[in-house]
Amino acid sequence: MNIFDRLQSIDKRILYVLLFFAIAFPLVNPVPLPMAIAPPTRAAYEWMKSLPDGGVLWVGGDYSASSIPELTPAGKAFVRMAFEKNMRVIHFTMWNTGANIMNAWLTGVAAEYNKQYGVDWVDIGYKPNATAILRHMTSNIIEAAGTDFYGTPLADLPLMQEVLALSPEYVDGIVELSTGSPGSATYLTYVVEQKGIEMVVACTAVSAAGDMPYFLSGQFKGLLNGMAGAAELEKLSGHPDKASASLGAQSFAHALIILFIILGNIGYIVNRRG
Amino acid sequence: MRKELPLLLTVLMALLVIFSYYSFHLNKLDILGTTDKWVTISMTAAVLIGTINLTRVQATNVIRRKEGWYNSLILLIVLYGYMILGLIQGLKGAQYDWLFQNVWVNCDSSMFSILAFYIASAAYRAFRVRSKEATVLLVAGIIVMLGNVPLGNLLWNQIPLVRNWIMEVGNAAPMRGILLGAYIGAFAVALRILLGIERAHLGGGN
Repeated sequence: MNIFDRLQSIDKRILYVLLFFAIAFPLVNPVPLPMAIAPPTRAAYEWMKSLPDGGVLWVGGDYSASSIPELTPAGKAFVRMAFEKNMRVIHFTMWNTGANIMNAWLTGVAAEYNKQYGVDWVDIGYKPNATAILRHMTSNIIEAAGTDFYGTPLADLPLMQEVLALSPEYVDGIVELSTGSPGSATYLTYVVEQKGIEMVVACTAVSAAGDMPYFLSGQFKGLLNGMAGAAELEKLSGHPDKASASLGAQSFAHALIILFIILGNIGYIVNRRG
Repeated sequence: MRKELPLLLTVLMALLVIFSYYSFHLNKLDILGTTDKWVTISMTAAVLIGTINLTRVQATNVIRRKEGWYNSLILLIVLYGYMILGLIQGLKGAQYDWLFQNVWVNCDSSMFSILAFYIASAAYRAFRVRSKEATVLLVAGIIVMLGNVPLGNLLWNQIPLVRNWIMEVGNAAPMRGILLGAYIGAFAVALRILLGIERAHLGGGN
């Protein structure tokens, strides 16, 4: 076996060890790298800035633990921007696994801004058969959902006495943290197109290719592409957090994979010509 | 009758829901609000049936000491233990939430993190310039990978722009075609069910 054969069949355990260090090192020692802002992220940022002060932002947290690194930083950046504009925030998830994940970080961000639960923000949480509940909430939130994440009747919460339906009369915009189905397409079908509320989406990087046509058609007013999109919004909004800190690790990992692909192809091309 | 009645119900309900969207008078009656509740009840019943079925299968494994029976036992303990804890404490109960945040979240995250290693290995072995098409795929993949991280911008500040073009033109155009095709297909299947041509959902053989 010559050197070019070896380049094509490097032991995967070597790749695993190198990849581990390529991810771990920048996480322990953050490496600041210059970041370009993608147009869909800038559009999402401009859209958030255009929302009225003191308005109502609806947040859909439709993801599970595997998407926390990509979507939680994006959600935090959006909610921080909303609280800085004194907007009220309402959260609803169509994923049963999303309820506790979303409640944990929403509680933390609300505490940063001294926001009062029930008045400044409400967590409806998860409801079984969430797609039908979402559709029903476009006409009557209290009747559709009944109680919040903690089991408190929504009718007892001051914010929900004011926001009666998921419609443009009560809600100024939607931020959807989407990782699949139900997710951004569900909101698009039942809320955005039927009720005319504007929406921005933060999706996992793997979903970005599928979501991009909706941004280009104007149905999504902005689109955050995975962790990079979240880091870009953190930078634009002036709240650097975990996405910005993790981009170094993602850079090194991508570079290592590309390096291995190039090495494999050098071996392949030379052997083919030989 | 075993086929005809479900078929009749399917057609009637489908027509009712469709006309409720388009008819002002039916919309006023809030028929969709009522059918939403029916769907919720049906899905809750399905969860109950699923739980009973799962219990029956796994309990049989344990009782008959089938191979890997201890996995079935663990499943049953976790299923009913977590269910009972949730029923007693609610979603924000201290132990319930602790188990979710510190066991489930970490297990789920770890499982998907491991995928990164497999994907890296698969990319190294699969991405070869075997043909013109494979070369285009390889070059586009590398540009998008670099453009998605700050390193690409550091190497050459035009890489993010090329990445944007690939995503917004090269990707979006065929993706629109695929989406349109998929939705037309879904519409055709819905129409076949509505007209009673497609009967696979009714189950059974002949």
